[in-house]
Amino acid sequence: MEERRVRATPGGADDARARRLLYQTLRVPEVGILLALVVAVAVFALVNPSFVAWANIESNVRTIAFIGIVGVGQAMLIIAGEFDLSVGSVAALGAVVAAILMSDHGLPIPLAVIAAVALGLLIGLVNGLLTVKVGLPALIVTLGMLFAARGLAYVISGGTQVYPLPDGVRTLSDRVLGLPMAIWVFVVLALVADVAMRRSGFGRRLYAVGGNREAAQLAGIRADRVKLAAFMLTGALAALAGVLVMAQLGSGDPQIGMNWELAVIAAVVVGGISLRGGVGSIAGALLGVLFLQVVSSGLVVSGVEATLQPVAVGTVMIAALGIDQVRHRRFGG
Amino acid sequence: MWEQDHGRRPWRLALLAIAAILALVTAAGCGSSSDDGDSAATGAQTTATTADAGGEKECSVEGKKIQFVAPLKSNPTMQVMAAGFEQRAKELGFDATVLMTDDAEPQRILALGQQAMTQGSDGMVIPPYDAALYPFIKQASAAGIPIITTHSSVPDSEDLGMKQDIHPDPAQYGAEAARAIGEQIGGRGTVAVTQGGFNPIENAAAEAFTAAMKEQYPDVKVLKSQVEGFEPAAAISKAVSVLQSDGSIVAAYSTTGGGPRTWAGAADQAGKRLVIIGMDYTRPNLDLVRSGKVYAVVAQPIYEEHADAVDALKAAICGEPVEAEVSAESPLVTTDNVDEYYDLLDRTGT
Repeated sequence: MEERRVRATPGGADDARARRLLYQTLRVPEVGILLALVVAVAVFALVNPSFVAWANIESNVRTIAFIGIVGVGQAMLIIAGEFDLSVGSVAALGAVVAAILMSDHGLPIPLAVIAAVALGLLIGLVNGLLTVKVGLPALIVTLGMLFAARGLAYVISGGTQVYPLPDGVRTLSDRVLGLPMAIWVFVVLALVADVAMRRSGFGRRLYAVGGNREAAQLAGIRADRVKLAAFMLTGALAALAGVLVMAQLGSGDPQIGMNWELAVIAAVVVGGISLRGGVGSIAGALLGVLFLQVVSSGLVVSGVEATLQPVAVGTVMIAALGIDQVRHRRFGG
Repeated sequence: MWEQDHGRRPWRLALLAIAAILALVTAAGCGSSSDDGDSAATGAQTTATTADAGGEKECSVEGKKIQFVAPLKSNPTMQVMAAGFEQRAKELGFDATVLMTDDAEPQRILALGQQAMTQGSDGMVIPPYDAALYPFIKQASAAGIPIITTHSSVPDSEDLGMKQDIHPDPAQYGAEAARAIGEQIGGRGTVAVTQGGFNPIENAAAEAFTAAMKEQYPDVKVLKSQVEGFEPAAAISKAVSVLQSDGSIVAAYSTTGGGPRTWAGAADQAGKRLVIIGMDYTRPNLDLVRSGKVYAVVAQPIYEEHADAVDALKAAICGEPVEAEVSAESPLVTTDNVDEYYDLLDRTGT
């Protein structure tokens, strides 16, 4: 009916095409968070043009590279219907273990990094087995692991930074084509994960298991294995992110990854991933991570009082979710 | 296949995974810098030597039992505190014991304090970092045990009966940092201030810094304090944003121990040279001072504070007058005196 009315006016065909295009665009789930991001960048740049200065952009991208790497794993896990609260602590443990192995035990840097990532993988396996096979709630299991892994990081580091590290560690934070290594690692991981989620059988199984576990099992998908794999991937990526932060700082600090767990979950949810599972995309999750970083940084650059910043971040998060909900109700997607 | 025999295989896998994690973590933990944690925990039980260092023997505390009751035995700052206590107690001939917990849970400290009282105590040194410790301090004081509180000040409104409250003065070192930065930037430009979090000590240091700068260098603009937090990567990112917010920033003051690294990292990323002052003489921070990336760090006198607390205990036990509140000086560590602090860290094994 709408289309008939449009056709009745001069130039109606063009209008109809434009409306259809707009409608289809607004159906894309990531559009909501992308619009919010554009608006946020525009507002902060208007308030203070130095917000879009290269140093600030690079710093923000570098910061989201670390959280983004964790976000990739967390997004997959949440899409599969689970979540992991221990990611920040696993990052700290990975960083501290790698630092000690390379500095106190003389392990070659690549081996120390591999050992740290393997440790993350194993922690993910434990989280996964206790959640998926034993049937304990992920909230309790990963909350317990949050304390255990952080505690271990403090114990084995003696509560202090593992310092100094071998000089070769700096290659992990060197610039490649003008950007720090962490950003490239993040970009490559994000692209691979996005393609995997959209195109591969593993991605489809994650959506199927998170959307309806029983139906997925009836369709022959081994739901437990899929979830286990997602837990392990999340643990490994958390440890990798911790190692990359360690390389940037030049020390294994047990405080690395503090509060990442909630920041990552909040960001991926803002990016359109449903906590109930089965819905969302890697691109959306990473836009969510970027959006929250932009808001946090923008509030500082705009000179907002430090005490008001958490209030503003929370309000903007809820507003972004609300706008996306309205978009979803009106246009679907 | 997985689903069919999941009664056994997951457990085997879980056990294998846990064993592998423990092996890896143990491998990392063995020979790490934490190998001195236990010694701090098990207590000094130092054998008293002599108490006549000054040649006067009118009051001997030889064999008197005193305890240092504190949290976080593996924390390097706490280890320096314990070393100050132990060293001085040994010099004076006390029978000294260090009682420290693994974590910062006040209930565990209270349990250690009660244990010390039960076993007999002639005096205790306690950092009253949590108000939950106040009732115990009051109880021990009422029982006639001289208590010296250190490092965190007890509010004036609390009458706990301790003999002395000795602590650094955040207002003093905040003002000192302002004087040093003002001098280094020639009394012009903008200064950023960050805190690890909002708490009374950091608030006092930041406020004192701002007030002192306004008074001594009125042409310097001090930005309102921002929270850098304790996660290192996020802290650096926040500091870069602060730098972008005002192009005229030439210096930064942080009231937290991670501050030197935060601001050195931010200055690197933004390609700026800043006069930076932060807190605590940890080895990484001293290296930043030595390299010139950080102008100075504030040295809270944690070693001296605890040595002085033992002196105060001796005075209290001997019935000599003891000053109720002592404000410990917190000097700045710059390239001029950085070696002294490396030596102190070497001496205390941290």
